[in-house]
Amino acid sequence: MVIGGSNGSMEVVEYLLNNLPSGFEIPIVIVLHRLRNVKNLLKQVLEHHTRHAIKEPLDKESIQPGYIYLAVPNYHLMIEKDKTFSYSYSEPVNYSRPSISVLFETAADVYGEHLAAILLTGANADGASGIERIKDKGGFTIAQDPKTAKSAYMPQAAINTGKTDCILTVTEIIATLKKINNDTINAD
Amino acid sequence: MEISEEEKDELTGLIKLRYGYDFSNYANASILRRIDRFTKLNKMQSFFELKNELMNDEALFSSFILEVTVNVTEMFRDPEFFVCLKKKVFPKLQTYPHRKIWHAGCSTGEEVYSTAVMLTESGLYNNTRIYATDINHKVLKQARDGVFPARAMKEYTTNYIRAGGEKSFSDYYSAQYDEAIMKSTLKKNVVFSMHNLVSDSSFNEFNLIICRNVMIYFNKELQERVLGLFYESLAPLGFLALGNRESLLFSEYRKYFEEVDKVNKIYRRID
Repeated sequence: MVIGGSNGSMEVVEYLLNNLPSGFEIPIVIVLHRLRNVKNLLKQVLEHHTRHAIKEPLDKESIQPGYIYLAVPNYHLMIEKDKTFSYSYSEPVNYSRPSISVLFETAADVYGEHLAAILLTGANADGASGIERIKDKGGFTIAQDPKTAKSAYMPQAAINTGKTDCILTVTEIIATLKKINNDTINAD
Repeated sequence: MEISEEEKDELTGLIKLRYGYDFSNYANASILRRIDRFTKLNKMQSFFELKNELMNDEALFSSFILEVTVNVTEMFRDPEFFVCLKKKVFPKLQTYPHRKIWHAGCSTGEEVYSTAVMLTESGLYNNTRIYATDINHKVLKQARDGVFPARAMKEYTTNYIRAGGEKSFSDYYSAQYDEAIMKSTLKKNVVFSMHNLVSDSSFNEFNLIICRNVMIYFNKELQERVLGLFYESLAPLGFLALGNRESLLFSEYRKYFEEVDKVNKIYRRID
């Protein structure tokens, strides 16, 4: 599962992590736009909201169930075919580094239909092309309801691609996660 | 225009035959994106066109290398790294009468000049020789010239201060119109030369090797090769400094090193 967000999304992510269904083992990878060269405390903040371990992965680290992975500032985070993480310091994409689209697109290429994506509140259009790619590769895409989002721009840009499966409020996202979790557990 | 992994493999094979550069072990996700970017910038419509043009146009291939290898860098990138370097590595370097430092994958030189500044402020510069190498002669020339956009200096000054710079950053360059020219004293003891981490071998023994945010573009196999090369190129008790997303954790070579700083990924060869 991949989650992306910008302005206003930290509170949403805190809420989501606080309310993850029990027994949720699907690995989650999160890209939140963050200020570069500012002291990096997001991991510590988020750790208070979940019993899951939160990691800022190393290059070539492998994705494990039950973990939550957080993109660090100032690098693009990507996923490789062998289900490991890789990094790039290349130019910002959609004015962003880390770029949500970069993570989403590489995840789509690797996971195809075994991928769910949630795009949250934010003030730029990063992530929209990522949502498109995920849907094109058979994945499941959710945009936060722009009406309830702190900044409607980001989820709206994704919705405008026509490739979002659902537009959900935060509470509805939790319910959907529960369903995804049940489906995954039953499928095993 | 997206190319598939098979097409990428075909392309890297052709490039190796034609030009001698081996990109086959670069990390996939990144190189596919770089190639995609290159085809967009050059308005190419098909893989066939890309292949054809690259094989037949050397100047284009030259720009391809520039594009495909990420050369984005800045002075005092990750200022905490330089703080750590001064605090934990320099005092040990001080104990040697002469020192050799290798900046592997120096790109356009910003990191080299940063190290030179720090060495100068710690009184270590004079008996130190820095070898700055890269795969690309164009970026090496830029590094050698030491000319950077003046508009970048504001951010570099902030980084310099956060890196523990003791003077005024403007002491180290002269500004002319929209360019900042690094003082030539900073490169007095620096040798800039071509070196390819994929294919070339060890050429000296160093007290410190700095290779930051270069290996993230390599796959695991190539990383291991390069780490072996670094191991061979380090004097006993020599230091190895990697980028903060990199580590020795997944390498066979980790048993030959001790961790000097976990956060800033500085290691020391203990054999």
